[in-house]
Amino acid sequence: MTQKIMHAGDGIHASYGEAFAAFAGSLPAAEHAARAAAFDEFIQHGFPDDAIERWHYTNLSTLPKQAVRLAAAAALDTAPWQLGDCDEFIWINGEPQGAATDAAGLPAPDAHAGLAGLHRAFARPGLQLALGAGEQRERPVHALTISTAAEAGEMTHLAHRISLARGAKVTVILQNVGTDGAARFITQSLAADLADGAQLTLIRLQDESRATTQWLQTDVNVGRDARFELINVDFGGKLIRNDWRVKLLAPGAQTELAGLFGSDARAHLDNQYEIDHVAAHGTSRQFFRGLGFGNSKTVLNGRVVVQRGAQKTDSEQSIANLMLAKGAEIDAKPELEIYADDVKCAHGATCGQLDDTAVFYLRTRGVPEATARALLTYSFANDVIARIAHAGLRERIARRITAALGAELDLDALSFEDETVDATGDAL
Amino acid sequence: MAANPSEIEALVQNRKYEAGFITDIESESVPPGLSEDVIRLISAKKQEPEWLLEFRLKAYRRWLTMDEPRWAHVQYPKLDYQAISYYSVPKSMANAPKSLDEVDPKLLETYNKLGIPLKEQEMLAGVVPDKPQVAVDVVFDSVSVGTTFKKKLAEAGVIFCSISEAVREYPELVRKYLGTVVPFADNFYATLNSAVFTDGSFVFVPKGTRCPMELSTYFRINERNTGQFERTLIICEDDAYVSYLEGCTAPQRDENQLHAAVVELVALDRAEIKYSTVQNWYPGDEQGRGGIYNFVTKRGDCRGRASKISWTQVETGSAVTWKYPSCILRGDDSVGEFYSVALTHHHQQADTGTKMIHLGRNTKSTIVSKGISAGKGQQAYRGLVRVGEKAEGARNHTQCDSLLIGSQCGAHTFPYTEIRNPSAIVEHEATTSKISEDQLFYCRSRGIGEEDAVSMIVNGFCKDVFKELPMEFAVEAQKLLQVSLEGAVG
Repeated sequence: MTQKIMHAGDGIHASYGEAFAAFAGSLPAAEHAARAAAFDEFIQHGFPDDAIERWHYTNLSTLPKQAVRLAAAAALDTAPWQLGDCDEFIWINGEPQGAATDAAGLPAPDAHAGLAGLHRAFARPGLQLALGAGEQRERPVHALTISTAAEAGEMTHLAHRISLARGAKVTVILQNVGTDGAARFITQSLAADLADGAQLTLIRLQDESRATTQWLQTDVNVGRDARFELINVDFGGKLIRNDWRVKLLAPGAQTELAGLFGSDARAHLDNQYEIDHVAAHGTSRQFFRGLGFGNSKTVLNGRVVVQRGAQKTDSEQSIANLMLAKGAEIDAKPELEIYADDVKCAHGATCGQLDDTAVFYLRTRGVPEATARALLTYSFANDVIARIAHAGLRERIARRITAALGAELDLDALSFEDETVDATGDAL
Repeated sequence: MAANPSEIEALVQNRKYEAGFITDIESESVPPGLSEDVIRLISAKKQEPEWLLEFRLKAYRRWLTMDEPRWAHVQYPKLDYQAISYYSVPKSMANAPKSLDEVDPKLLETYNKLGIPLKEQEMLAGVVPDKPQVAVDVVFDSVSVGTTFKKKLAEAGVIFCSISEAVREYPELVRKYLGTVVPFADNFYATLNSAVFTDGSFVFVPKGTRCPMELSTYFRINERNTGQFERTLIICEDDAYVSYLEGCTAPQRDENQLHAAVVELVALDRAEIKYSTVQNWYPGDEQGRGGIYNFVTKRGDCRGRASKISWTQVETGSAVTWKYPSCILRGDDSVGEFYSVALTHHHQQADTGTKMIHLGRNTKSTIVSKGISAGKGQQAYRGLVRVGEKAEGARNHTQCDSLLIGSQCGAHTFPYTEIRNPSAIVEHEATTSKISEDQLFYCRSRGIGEEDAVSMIVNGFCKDVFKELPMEFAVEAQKLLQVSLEGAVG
């Protein structure tokens, strides 16, 4: 056993060990060896600390401060979160509501060896979605994970998998919510494979409880002329780290990533986006909007890699941050790593405030200052929200933001039933 | 005039053929290796006071506990710090190189094309007195051997000498400022430098003085297997101004050489320091053999109100460059600037950029970085803009462009921004592109050869930076780029 374990304290790791022993008992014998190997990886590497460049702003080594146990099943009325016009899949504390599905193998995230080991050791199957060739679903798939108070335990680990065959098309809404203030530790992974011409729109809304530590890694492989679109909205949690990896593996692959983040609490949000242009003629777009509320620390790393031979790559990235309060911190890094010469790559990052002249203009029209500021902030965030095709979800996010802004906005005056939007959001 | 003009003339004469040879001077080197004894020996040879020896030993003891940084986007074999000789002093200056036949003709050709970058020879001899004068402090290996224009500078009250001399003549000044901008334990290479630095330049511009001429230093790495560890300290008191030029060349050799310099700038109230560099260390051959490892720590401290520090660099040499000239904007209303052109060709690698640390109110910084990558060169811009909690009204604009020439090269951008004050306005923009076929075709259809066309386009790409350079350097820099890019196209 390594020094890291000693450093973290034997008692803590003994507690992970006990949790693993209890969990392993519930697993089929065929999985035991792989799970145990994964757990050993975790023991060997521990949690990432800020000495690792990719974890420079997010230090998880202070995490194991208390004994851990897997969260127990709990019952809860899930109606408030259901969207209605979607195919619903729900997990409460990692326990599927309804029929459980089998996973096709263990997940393989790689953002950090120790963390990945922990996830592999404990992961239970989450959404397992496979679409056949040409299968196009009009109804979005809603994967809802809820963490709530249980009798004991605070860890859940879920692994999602989406596989789209040639020409398949679907919208998946992944929503992570928490109900109370209990300290929790959640890891999730999502692996998606898009075969030639497939289209996946992933909308992810994170609104975990104020004491939650969550790590999510998403890996998407995009095939020839396939398209992956992401809209990620981060509001909740205490310490949130998301690793997004998109690989454009064949010519004509496209991806468009959009993100909105802002916590109104003393929280730490870290989003690491990476687009890897492996093949030529790939297109990528990134569009991020950040809100710096009081005492929150938001980290955004947008990385674009253009591999040797990925000629004619077209990549753009735009990051804009709004600093709203003293005490907030925003750390943004738009990275480019380019190994091919015939490419078009541009990125821009800004950090600033609301335009005083715009505020003044609204005030001259009789809008109180607080409302004017809230309105302008909302419109800034709306650049991302408007990309969401699902009207019901869009409205929920809008209400969540206005609540955070603390000013009364007449949302009913804002139309959410936007007739210009089709199911894919293409018209936006 | 200088103490011995003929010596300096001889030295300057050497520059005419540029530096592709090892000057055969009887030199007094200590055997390779580093220990407390070596540091005591260096200190004793330089007749340093006790406090400086303590500074060196403190740094050395800290250095032993540090690890070499590996986060930069560069690759090179692990260095053996015990194989480097940490001290070498030329004994006789009259003993200049014997024959040009020893020079690699290829290098000679290159340098002939470059011409003499500055007309320092005439200036030293006073042939062209009506032109702007440049004072040169030549660092020949590790000990500064000639300083000119001392008298004229002395009349203005400006101190410009080697740092060893400054330690002897102005110990209280050196002691007051040395290590206050780059602390002895700052980073691996700076700490090594603090332990073993041999020489460098010292500039002190007193209150209200505008330095009457541009100050210039040439560095040469000359003795086989001696890393050069310069230490430069520039202090501008209230309302003072100085423009400092640094240029370097190095002889060809096969082993990799370490160059770990530290430059510290201190600007007090309303002072302004302009620091310009043309760096052309030996970059290794076309297969990537040899070349200098340039691991430099440069930092300026805008300590006073409304002070200004401006870095301008043209980086075309070195096998591996690891360099981030930075500004600490401590005084209210202070200004930091960074203008950079970096070129990597063949197997060169560069990880360079800047840090702008905004601490005072209404501080402003501008970053313009132009990276050119050709052949198998790898080029990274790494920059940090940090706005502290108390830095009300901080403003930054960063422009960061890369030009790619050839399908084997790489251009990378790692711009860190850390904003902790809601009134900050920070902007970063970056583009990456290649020389377009249209531009080339247009030039060629006007009868301009392909290489000239590329050079013209590249010069246009770099214009924003070249216009910040002093006139003579700007001319030199353009030629340097042209020569460095030869063979990159076609």
